[in-house]
Amino acid sequence: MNSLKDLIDFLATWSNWTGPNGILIRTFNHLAISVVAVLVASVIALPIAIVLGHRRKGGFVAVAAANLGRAIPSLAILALALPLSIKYGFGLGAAPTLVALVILAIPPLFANTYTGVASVEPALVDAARGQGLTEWQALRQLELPLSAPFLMTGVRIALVQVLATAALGALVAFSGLGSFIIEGFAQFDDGKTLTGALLTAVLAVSAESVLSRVQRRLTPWVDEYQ
Amino acid sequence: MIAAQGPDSLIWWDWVGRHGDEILHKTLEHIYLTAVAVGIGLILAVMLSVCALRFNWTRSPIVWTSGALYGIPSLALFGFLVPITGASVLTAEIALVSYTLLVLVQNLLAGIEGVSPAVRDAADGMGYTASRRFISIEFPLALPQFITGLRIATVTTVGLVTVAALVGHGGLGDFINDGLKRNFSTPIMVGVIGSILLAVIADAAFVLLQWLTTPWLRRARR
Amino acid sequence: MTDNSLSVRESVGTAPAISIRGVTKRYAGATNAAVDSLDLDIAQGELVVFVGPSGCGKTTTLRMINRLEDPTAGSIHVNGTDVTEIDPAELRRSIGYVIQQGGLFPHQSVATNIGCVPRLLGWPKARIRERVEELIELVRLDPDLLDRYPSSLSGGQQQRVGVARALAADPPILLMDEPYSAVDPVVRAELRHELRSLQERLAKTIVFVTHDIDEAIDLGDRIAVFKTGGHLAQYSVPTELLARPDSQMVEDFLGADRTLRRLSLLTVTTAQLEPATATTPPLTIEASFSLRSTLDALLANATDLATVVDLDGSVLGVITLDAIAQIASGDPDSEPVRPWAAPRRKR
Repeated sequence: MNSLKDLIDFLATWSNWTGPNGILIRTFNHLAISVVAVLVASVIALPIAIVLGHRRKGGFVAVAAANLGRAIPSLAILALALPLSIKYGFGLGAAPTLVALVILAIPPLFANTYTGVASVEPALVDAARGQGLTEWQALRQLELPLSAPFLMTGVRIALVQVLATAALGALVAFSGLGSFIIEGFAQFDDGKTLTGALLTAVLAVSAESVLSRVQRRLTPWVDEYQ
Repeated sequence: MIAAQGPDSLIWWDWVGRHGDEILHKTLEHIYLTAVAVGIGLILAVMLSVCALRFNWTRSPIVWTSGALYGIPSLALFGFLVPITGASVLTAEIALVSYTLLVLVQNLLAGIEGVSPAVRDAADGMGYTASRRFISIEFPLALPQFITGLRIATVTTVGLVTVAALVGHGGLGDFINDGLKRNFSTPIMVGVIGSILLAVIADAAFVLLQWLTTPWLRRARR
Repeated sequence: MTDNSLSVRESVGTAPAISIRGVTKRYAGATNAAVDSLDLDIAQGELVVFVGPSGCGKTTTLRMINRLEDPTAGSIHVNGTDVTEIDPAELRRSIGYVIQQGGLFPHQSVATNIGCVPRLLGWPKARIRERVEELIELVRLDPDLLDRYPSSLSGGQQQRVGVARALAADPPILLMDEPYSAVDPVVRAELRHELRSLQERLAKTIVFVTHDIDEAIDLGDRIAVFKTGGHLAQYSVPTELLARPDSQMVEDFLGADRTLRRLSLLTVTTAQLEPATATTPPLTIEASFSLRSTLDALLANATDLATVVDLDGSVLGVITLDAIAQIASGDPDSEPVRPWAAPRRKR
C-alpha cells in the first residue's frame, strides 16, 4: 500500500500539476497530439476509402490494411519514425510521435469506412440512380449516412488506439502522459509511475466510453456497435 | 570501428553480423514470452468461457472485465504492475495474458453460440448428454472461430512483447529500446523487422492450423 | 442399453405406442398455454401427422414425446412406460428424431453422422460401419457419399441422411419435425413417397409434424389437426377428415377443393361399379386409378361411362359419373383407402 500512498502524495503536490512538465500541460499535449493525428489520418484515409467503397473496388486493400494494422507493433512504428524523423531534420519528440500515430490511425479508419460504404445494398444505390440522383448525390444522401456507424466505429477505434500509443511517445522524448511512467521507472518513483498509468488508463477508457455513447446517440438504429 | 556503410544508412549489416547470437537469443525469448502468454491466456479463456456458458449470470462480468483489461493502454498496465511485481518476467506475462483474454473469450463464445440451433436440437434429440454435446459437437464447430481468436491474440502479443522491453523482458523489443536510448537505428531496424516477421509467420501458421483442423470447411469452399 | 430403453423397444402389443393424457405445456412468462390439456393415442405402426397453423402446439407436442420439452401437467407414455421415468438421454437414443435438413452435424462425414446414436450406445466399430452401409442402401443413397461432408450434399440427400441417422439404432418410433420444409416441392414429393415405402417395410410408429395440409393428407394414416392455443381440432383418417370436417376451422384449413382431394385418395373400385354389358364403353380405366383421375378422364373425353379393367386387362365393370358423384357427396359407406395403396397422383 506504500505505492498507493506515493500516488496520493504525488497527486497532492500542486507543483506536479503545473510547470512545463506538469500533469496539466502533459495531459493537454497528449490529447492534442492524439486528436491532430486522427484528423490528419482522416484527411488521408477517408476520401480514398469512400471513393473505393463507392466503386466497390479494392476490398483487398481494406482487408490488408486491417491485418497490417494488427501485425505491425505500435512500438515498431514509433521506433521506425524516429530515425527517419532525425534523418530528415524533424528531430525528437512530437514529430516522430505524430508521424507514428498518423500511420497507426489510418488502418482502422480506412478499413471501417471502406466496409461501411461498400456494404450499402447495391440495389439501394441503383434505386437512387434510378430516381435521377447523380453519383455524388447518391453518395452524399445515401451511402454516407448509411455507413456513418462504420465510420464512427473507425474513428473510435483509431482515437482509442492513438491515445494509448501516444503514451509510448515518451520513448522518443515526447512530453505526454507516458513520460510520467517512463520517468517513474527510471527514477524508481512509484508515485510518478502510477500517476502516469492512472491518467493514461482513465483517458483511454473514458474516450472509449464517451465515444461509444456518442455513437449510440447519433446512430440509434444500430443495435449493436462493434 | 563501425563503418561498412555510410553513417546515414538505417542498417549497418556488420553490426547485425556481429550480434547474430544475441539476435537468435532474443528471437527465442520473444517466441517464448509469446507462447507462455497465449498458452496461459488460452487455458484461462477456456475456463472463463465454460463458466460463462454454464452460469449465464457470469457472462457479463467476464466479458466486461476482459474488455476493461484490454482497454488499458499497455504502458499504463506496466505502470500499474511495476510498483507491485517489479520489472520482472511476471510483470510482462501478467500484462500480455490480460490482453489475450478478451479476444479469446469473445471468439470462443461467439463460436459456440454461433452453432446452429438445428444442430444443437438434433444432438439433444438423439440423446447427447450436455457434456458430450459440448465436446463432440459444439467445440469442434466453434474451432474455426476460436483459432481465429488465437491467431489475433498471438499476432497482437508478438507486437506487445516489444513493449515489455520497458520492464526488461521484451525479446526483440529489447533491441528497439536499446536503439531508441542510444539513438542508433540499426538495432531498431533489427527489432522492428524481426518482430514483424515473427507476427507474419505466426499469422500464417494459424491459417495453416485452421485449414488442417477444419476439413469440412475446406471441401465446402471448393 | 439399459432396461428402460429395452422396455421402450420390446413391449410391443395392442397398447398404443404413444399415449398422451391431459398434457398441458405452459412456457414461463406466456399468458396462453402452448398445448392445452391434450389427449391423443398413437397406435403401433401408424404414421400420424400433426398439422396446423403456426403456434398451434404441434411441434411442442412432438418435442414432449422425447422430452426435449417436459409437460407442465399431464403424462406421456411410450410403449406403456411413463417417459418421465426414463433418463432423457436414454429415452432419446431409443426414439429416432429428424428435423429440417436433417440437422446434420456439418463437421462430421455422412458416415459419422449416420453412426451417431450407435456410437452413443457404445456399439463396436465394425458393427457401426456395417449398419451405416446398410442404412445408406435403405435410404437409396450412393455409398460413395459416406465419406463426404453434409455441405456437399443436396437438400434431398441431406434429408435422406437425416432419416438414415434416425433409423440407425432401429428405434420403434420416429419423430419428424417439419423435415421437408427446406426442400423443393418435387424432391419433397419424392421423399414422401420414399418415407411411405420405408414405413411399409419397417412398420415404425412415425409422428410427423407439418404445416402443409397436402403433405398431411398425402402421408398420414391418421391426421391430428391442431388449432391455435394447443387444442386438438380433429383426429381421424384422411378420407374421413375430408368427408366430414368437425368444425369450420378444419373445413377452412382443408381448403375449398376437399371433395376432389378425397376422391384422389380413393381408388375407382371403391365406387359402385355397374356390370359390364355387350356394348362396353370405349374408354378404359385401370382399377388402380383414383376416383379423381377417373373423373378427369371422363370429363376430358366428354363421356359419362368408362370400363374398369384390372392389371390383366379383364373387365371388372363400368364406372359412371353418377357413381363418382355419389361418393363425392359423402356416401358414409365408402371405404377409406390407405392413400399409399392408391397410385401416386401426379401433382
